[in-house]
Amino acid sequence: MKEKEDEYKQLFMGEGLEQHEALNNLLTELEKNPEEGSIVDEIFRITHTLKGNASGMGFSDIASLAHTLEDLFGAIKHGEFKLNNKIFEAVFKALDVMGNQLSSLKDNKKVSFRGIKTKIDVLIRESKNNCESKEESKRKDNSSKQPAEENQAVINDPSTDLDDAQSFLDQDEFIITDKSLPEEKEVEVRKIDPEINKVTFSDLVQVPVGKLDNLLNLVGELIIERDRITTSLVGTEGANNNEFSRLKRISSDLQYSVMNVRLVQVGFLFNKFKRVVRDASISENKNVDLQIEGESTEIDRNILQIISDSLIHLIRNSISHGIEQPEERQAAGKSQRGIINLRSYNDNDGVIIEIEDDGKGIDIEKVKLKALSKGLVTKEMLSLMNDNEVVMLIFEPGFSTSDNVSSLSGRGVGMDVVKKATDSIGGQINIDTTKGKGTLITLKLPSSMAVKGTLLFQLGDQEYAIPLSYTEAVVSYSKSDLYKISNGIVASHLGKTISVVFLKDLFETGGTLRQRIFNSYSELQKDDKIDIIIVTYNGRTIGMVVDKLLQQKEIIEKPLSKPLDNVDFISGVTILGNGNVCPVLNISTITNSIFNMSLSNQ
Amino acid sequence: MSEVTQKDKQNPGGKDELENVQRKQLIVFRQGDSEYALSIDQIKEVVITPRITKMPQTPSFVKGVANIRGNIIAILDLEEKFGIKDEGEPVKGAHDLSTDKNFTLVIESEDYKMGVLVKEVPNTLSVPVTAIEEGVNIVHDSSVEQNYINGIVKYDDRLIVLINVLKVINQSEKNLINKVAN
Repeated sequence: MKEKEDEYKQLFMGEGLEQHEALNNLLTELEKNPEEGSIVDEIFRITHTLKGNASGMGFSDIASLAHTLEDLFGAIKHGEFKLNNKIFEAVFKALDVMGNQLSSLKDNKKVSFRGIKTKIDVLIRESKNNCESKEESKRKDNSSKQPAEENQAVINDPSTDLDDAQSFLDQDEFIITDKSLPEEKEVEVRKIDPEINKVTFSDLVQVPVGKLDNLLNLVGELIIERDRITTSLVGTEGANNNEFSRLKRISSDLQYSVMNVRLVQVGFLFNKFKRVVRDASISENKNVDLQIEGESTEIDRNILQIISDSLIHLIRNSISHGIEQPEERQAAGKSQRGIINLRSYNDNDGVIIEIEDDGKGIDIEKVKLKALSKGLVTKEMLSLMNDNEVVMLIFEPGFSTSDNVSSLSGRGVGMDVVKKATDSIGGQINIDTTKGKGTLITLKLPSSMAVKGTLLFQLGDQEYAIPLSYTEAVVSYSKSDLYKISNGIVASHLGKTISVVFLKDLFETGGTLRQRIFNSYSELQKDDKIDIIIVTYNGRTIGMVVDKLLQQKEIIEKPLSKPLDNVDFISGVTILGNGNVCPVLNISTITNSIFNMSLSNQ
Repeated sequence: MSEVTQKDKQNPGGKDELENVQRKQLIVFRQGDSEYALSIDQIKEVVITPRITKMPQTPSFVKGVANIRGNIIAILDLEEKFGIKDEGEPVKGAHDLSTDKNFTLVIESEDYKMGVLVKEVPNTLSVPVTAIEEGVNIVHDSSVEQNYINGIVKYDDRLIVLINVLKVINQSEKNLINKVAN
C-alpha cells in the first residue's frame, strides 16, 4: 500500500510541477496582455485542477494556496476586478511558494505559505469592495469612462477610490506602481530569488502513448524473430547454447517490462464513476450508492481506454434499468438505497471487472418478446435457447428493453457497442441475472494487448489460430456423432445441441455458404474421426471442425491492412516461429454468421 | 501521366532518341501472352515469392497474404483478375503457386501494400513519353472496370499495356467484401 501511495505522490508531483510551470508561463504572458481572457480562463482551470489533485492527495497546504489563487482568478474571470501590478507581484510570489511546496513533498520540508495566502485573500477582498464602489461611480459617469476602457488595457490600482481615479488618469503610462509597500516587496523578491533558480526535476517522465505502442510493436516483432531463429536452429549445434537461453530470458524480460510500463490502475477510471453514478441517479430520481473494490488492479492503458465508455454505459444501464425507484424497492423488502458494486481483480492472465447491482434483474420474458418483435430470433429458436442465451440477446444491435427512451440509456445503441468494444480487445462479457435480486455483469479482459493466448490448428496445409478466450473445449467425434439437419450440422456436446461447421467449407469461396455447408460432411467416411474445437461467443456455442490440432501458443496479432481489411472471418495474422503467416480467426463474426444462417433458413 | 520525372539518357532500347525527350521508366512483366507494365515508382522491390497463406472471403485472384520483410501483404494474381490465364493451365491451389510464379512484385503506396505474382523476373524499360498512348477509349466504353489501364506503350514493335495497379485494387475492393451469402 505504501508503494501505491508513493506512486500516487510521484504522479502528483510530476503533474503538479508541470502545472506550476504552465502557471508561471501563463502568468508571464498575462502580464504582457492583461486583457487576454483566455489566459485567465486557462490559469483558472489549472489552479482548479491543481487544487483538486492536491486535496485529493491530502496535501492541504498546496490545496489551500491553489484554492486562493483559484478564487482570485475566478473573480478576475467574472470581471469582478481587474489585474494590477500588485496582484501580479503577489501571484508570482504565491507561485514561487507553491513551487517550494511542491518540491518540499520530496524532503517533507515545511514551507510557510500563510503569509502570501493572506495577502492574496486581502487583495481579493479589497478589490471586490473597490470594484463595487467603482461600479457605482462608473454608472454615474459612464459616458466618460467607457471609451477609455475599451481602447486601453486598464490596470487600476484598486486600493482606494482615489487611486482608482488616478489609474484612469495614468492609463497612458500603463504602469501603476504599488505605492504602499514598494521597499518591502523588493526585499521579499530578492529573498526568494535563489529558490526560484533551483530547478526541480520530477522523477517521472511523461511519454505519449503512441511511443509506447511503437515500443510494444517492436518488442512483439523481436519476440517473433527470436522464436523464428530458435525454431530454425532446432537440431543444430547452437540450439541448446547457453547464449540462447540468455537471449530468451532477456527478450522475455524486455517484453514484460514494456507491457508493465503500459499498465495503469483501474482506480483511475473507477473513481470517475462516482460522479457518473451521482448524476445518473439524480436524473432518474433514484438513490444509488457506488461501491468500488480492487482499485489497484492493473490493466493496459489502451484497454482501459477502449472499455471506459462501455463501463459508463453499463453503470448507467444498471441505474436506469436495474435499480428500482425507492418506493418499489421498499415494497420489495430492499433498502431504499440501491447499491452498485464495481469490482476488479486479476484472474489468470486477465483482469475481471464486475458490475453488480441489487436491482430488479433482467426480465427474461420481456427480452424474449422484444427480440421477437425486433426480428432478432424466431419462436422456434427461442424455444431452443436457454435463459443465458436469451439474456445475451440484449447485446444484439438494435435491441433495447426499455419501453421509454430515457436521457441516460435506452436508445438501443448501447449494449451492442459495449459488446463490440469488448470483442475488439479479445475480452468477454457475461451476464448473470436473477429476477428481483439483481444483475451481475462480468467483463473478462486481457490485462495486456500484446500477447494473445491462442490454440493453433491446421486446415489443409495451413496453420490458423483461435483465441483461447473463446475456446471452450476440444473434442473428437466421428461422423455418426454428427446429424445433418435442414440448415446445417448439429452435434451434442455436454447434453447441449450445438451447430457444427466444417471450417474448410466456411472458408471456401464461390457459391453461398448453405450450398457448400455439407461438402466436407458428405465426403466423410463413416468411421472417420474428426477434431472439433468448441467455441462460445455471446452465449452461442458452435463447434468448428479442423483437420488437425496443433499446440497452444502465445502470439502477437497484427491487424490486416488494406485491401484485406474487409475480411471479417479473420481478425488479424501472426507470424509463426517457422516464418509462416498464420491467420487468427474472428470468432464473433464466424459464430454470428453461422447463427444467422440457421436463423434465416427457418 | 503526371509522374513523368525521369530523364533517361542511357537509351536501353538501342534506338537513337533525342536527348531531351522525356522518358519514363517502366517495369515490364508478362501476364499470359501479353506484356504489362507498371510505372517504376509504384514498385518497391521484386522478391522471390514467399509462402502464401490463403485468406477466406476473398475473390479468387487474391491468392492470400505473405510475409515480406515483416510486412503482411496481400498477394494478387493479375492473370486471374484480367481473365487471361492460359487455358491449358490447371487451376492451382495457393500452396503450389510458388512453383509456378516465382517472383512477386512488391507494390507500395500510402494506403496499400500488395504483391503481384509474375513468372519471370520483370525487366525495366525506359520509354519516351511520346510512345505512351494515353486514354485508350476503346477499352473504356465496355465498363468502368477498365479504368486501371493507363495507356498503351508502343515501343520497339512491342505493345505493352500500362496499368495502374492501385486502381486495380481500388475497384476490386468492393469484390473483396465477398461476404458469405447466407
